[in-house]
Amino acid sequence: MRKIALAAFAAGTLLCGCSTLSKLQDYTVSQSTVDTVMASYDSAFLAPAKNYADLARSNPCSSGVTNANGACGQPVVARKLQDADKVVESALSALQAQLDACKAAGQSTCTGVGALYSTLKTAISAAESLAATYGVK
Amino acid sequence: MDAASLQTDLQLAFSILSLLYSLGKDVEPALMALYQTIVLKKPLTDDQRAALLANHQALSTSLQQPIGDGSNGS
Repeated sequence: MRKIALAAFAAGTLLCGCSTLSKLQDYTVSQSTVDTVMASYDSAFLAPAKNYADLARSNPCSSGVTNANGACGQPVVARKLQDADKVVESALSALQAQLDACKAAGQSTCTGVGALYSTLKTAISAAESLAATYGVK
Repeated sequence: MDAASLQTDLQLAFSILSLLYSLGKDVEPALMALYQTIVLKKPLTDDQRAALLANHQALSTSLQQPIGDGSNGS
């Protein structure tokens, strides 16, 4: 009985996974989708991260958020922000390139780019989570 | 809406305004783009997209400038 239940669970998981994968592959992205994601990323992460990196250059500190000179930035945190942005930029470029290819083929939207879109959203979530962890805003 | 809810909303609005004020011009093209695509539900024009992209690239380029090791900081 237990084996049957396990088999049913495994089959359900597989079906669910296939269904999710299918939805990802069918996902349609337009230029507006990319524009909105980029604008949101710019305001929520990129601008605060850039300001924090400026602070880490002008008034670096090894811990905390202030030192004798006032508000400070930790270079080690700023480098993590840089790394997170590199991942996002790469994912964003890949999605835009695919969308450009679709547009060149006369399509206003791009279907089958769910994996690229998912990669981008995951990268942005990781970047925003990093910023939240270190209070970068 | 009761007084507590109103106060919460006002605090949230003030926090957002404070954040926008602190970020200044850096996020202006992004906010314009978000307003147009989310609130007005219209696609960006080519000029607006070019402005958004230029601002995005400027922010990323600035972020990626070398950072010292902070050895002279405290």
